[in-house]
Amino acid sequence: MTVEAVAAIALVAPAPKPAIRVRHLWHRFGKLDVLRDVSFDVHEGEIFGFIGPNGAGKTTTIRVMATLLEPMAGKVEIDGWDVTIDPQAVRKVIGYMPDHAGVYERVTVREYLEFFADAYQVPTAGTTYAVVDAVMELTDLTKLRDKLVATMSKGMKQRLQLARTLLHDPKVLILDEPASDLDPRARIEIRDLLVELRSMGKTIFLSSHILTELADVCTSVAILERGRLVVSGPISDIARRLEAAQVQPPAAPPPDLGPPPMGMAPSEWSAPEPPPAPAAVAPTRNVRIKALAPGEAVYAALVSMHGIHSVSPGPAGSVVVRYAGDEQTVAAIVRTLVLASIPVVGVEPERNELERIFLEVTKGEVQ
Amino acid sequence: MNAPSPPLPPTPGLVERLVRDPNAIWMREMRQSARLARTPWVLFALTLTLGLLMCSIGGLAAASDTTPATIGGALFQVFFSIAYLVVVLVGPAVAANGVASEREGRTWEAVLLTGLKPKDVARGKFLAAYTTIALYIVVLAPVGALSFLFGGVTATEVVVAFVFLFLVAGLTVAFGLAVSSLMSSLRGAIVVTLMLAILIGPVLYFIFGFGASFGIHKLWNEVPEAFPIWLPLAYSRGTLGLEYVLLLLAVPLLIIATPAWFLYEATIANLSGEADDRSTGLKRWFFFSTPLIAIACAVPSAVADDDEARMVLSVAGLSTFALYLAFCAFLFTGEPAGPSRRVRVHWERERAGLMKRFFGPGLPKTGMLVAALGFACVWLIAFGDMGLIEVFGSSAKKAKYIEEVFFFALYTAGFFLFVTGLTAWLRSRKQTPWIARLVAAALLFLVSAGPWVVAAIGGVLAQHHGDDWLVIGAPSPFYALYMMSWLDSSYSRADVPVVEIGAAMSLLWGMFGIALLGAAAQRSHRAVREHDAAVAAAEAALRAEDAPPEPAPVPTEAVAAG
Repeated sequence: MTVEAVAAIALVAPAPKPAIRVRHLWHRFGKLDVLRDVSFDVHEGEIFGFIGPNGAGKTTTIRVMATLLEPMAGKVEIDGWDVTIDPQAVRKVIGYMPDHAGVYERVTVREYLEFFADAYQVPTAGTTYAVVDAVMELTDLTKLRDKLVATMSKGMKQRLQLARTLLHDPKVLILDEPASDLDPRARIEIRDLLVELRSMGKTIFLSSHILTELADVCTSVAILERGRLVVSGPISDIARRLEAAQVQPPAAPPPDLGPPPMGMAPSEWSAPEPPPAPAAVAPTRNVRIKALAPGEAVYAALVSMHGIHSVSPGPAGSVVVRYAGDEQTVAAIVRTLVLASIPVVGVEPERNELERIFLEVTKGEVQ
Repeated sequence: MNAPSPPLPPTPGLVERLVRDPNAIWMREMRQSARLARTPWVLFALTLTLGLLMCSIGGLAAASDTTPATIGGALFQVFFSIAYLVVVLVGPAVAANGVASEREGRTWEAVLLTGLKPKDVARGKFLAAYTTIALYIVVLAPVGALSFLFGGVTATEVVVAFVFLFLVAGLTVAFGLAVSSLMSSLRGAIVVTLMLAILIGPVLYFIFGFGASFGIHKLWNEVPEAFPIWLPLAYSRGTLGLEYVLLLLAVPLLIIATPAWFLYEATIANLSGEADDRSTGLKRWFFFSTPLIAIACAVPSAVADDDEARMVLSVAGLSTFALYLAFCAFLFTGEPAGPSRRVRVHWERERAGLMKRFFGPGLPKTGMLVAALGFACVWLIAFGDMGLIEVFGSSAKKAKYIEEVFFFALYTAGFFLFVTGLTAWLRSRKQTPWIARLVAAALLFLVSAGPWVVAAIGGVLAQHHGDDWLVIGAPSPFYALYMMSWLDSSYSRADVPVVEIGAAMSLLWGMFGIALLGAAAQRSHRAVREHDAAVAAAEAALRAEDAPPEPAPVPTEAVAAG
């Protein structure tokens, strides 16, 4: 059998079912369309970042996914269950942590988790809550088990909430701004915990408008702006697609001519000659270079290099090099500097990939 | 041969379940309450205040020539009146915290997503609030027990009074919880609950306490007159018979069970999602309660001792029942046009029968149920009371009284159909339930008051025969009272057909109501059809999108090579 035949068979083979499936989701509050035809898939075992400015519709999408809001149109499936038809089944497979959620203050950590274990009807042996112990261990709350929730810090409460969502061993975790209002240490701890949960096979869907929070952990992202999905997929794929789009700009659509002028037959009314297509342009990026040499020396070494647009002073004695190209170009820059006897001690993109994608695909509009 | 299946474990009883697997919400709330430092101080202050008050009354009375039995009776009335007020105010306030505090504190969603059923949440919240209020009653018990030490009331009567206090506490807690389940602001819930409790509590105290005590004293002399806490005394002092069973067992049971059931169903409906079945519980409650309430409304007339009292009590019963029906018409304005997709899918899965579907959500069938059952029960009361007057009546005005009850019932039935039709029609115009209720209330106010304003102006302008202008009030439901007074008066003028106009107006209202119900049903069916078509189109589009692509044709040479 040839490669083509195998490919043809592979095309009809059933694709793995996504853990979350959102199709043509619309929602409206009053006269405002907060979600407009949003569609995306989240595959099992992914950490999926849902990005968008405040008011973009992230929380509305999440509330629909968590069965707390009825979608006006469209379909959302979690682990194969339709949120509109089978909300109870969906609730069994998701762990949802809302943004700025409250906790019961006058109970201890253990009592709090035991209450939710009872509510989830997690099997217990008599009064022994093995699950509670395991979850406290996982979320590093064991030392605080007898502490009153009211006396805990915001970060600890957030961790308690995360522990609560894990009690019934859900397949999918839906976290709305899990690290908002947390200090840097708590953020790092939450991030590490998410990575650990992913390694346990959980699918994690988390929203945020803080890109650095997501960049390190997410495998895929979706960007929402004014209720519309701008882009979605694995970060590397999106970056590649964007670059391809910049290098080969799409053909301009035929201009909308409108109705023919009075007295002219439609057949006579034709489009004017399209403008010539712009020349292919490689995407430009910035890279920050820290070298043990004055900025002038770096400039002198790089100024004649192909693809370098500019070299300018950066923060803390670094220089910012604007270039056209990909990672190979960065390697060439470093090589050039080393060959010019300039010791390079640090190379980092001025913006990480996710920030770059976000800035390129959004227009900064809010509704 | 199949192996015998192992015997099923016995289903644990209620007590065993409560002990082994208590309601999670109840347990958590109790743990939280136990850490509230102010509770013991509030209880201590309340007990001390009431104890001092009772001691002062006892001391002052003992200083006079009053007999100990009279002091005991007075202490009993004072204590249980105050305890009633405490329960009526504290019970709803405590329960109002229940759901509203969770919604405001943003803990509600976490509870909802655990998969706990609304009925489990409602029971847990009820038990938590009820435990608190029961604690208040228990703490007050030694103070209340002081009264029987003086005599005048027996220990059994005190115990029965405490039992009723616990029952009233249950009702007040259920009321607070129902309001709380409707609201998302804690302060709002407490303010609304307290305002309603302050308005309704004393009114019920005066109607069922002071008011009813006169009638009961007339029936059983042993029960003291004008003593609001008469019910616990009547059990040991009343004479066994039909009246005893009706007034001391059936009616109190109905008065407690019907609102308790309603409040439970209303709380569950409020805690359920919009696409869930929020109707079945309330419709089932309406179906079973309405005939019982109709019978209860006819009971006072049955125990009256003369024809006029029987007629007056019959009209009072019909008026009470009409108010109940109006409340139900407004209640069911919350019905959706039809069952949601979720409800229908679940009906299909469990192969729900016709009866289950009939009691499910849907404006047309709910409107039909309310109209038919309400209409039938109005005539049940009317014919029951007319029959009683006919059978037991002895006065010369017997026929006139029967006429009065008949025409009052005729107007009540006709106008009720109009109210049901109006609320259903307004709701079918895709208005939100509260907008539909407000518009309906405004229209009913206009219909009730407007004609009398016109009649009054006309009467003043005409100067002569001013009374004739009162027939302009025929569209108002209060015209039924004018019809009665006209029938009751000894004179009659042939040139003003007061009763005929009233009867015609009643029929017009009835037909208008039926027409509105029909229009509402048509609109609802259309809305459901349009929604179904939109859903079907969307589903088809999604299926087409999800369909696997056609396999590419395999090249012939490739197959040959393979």
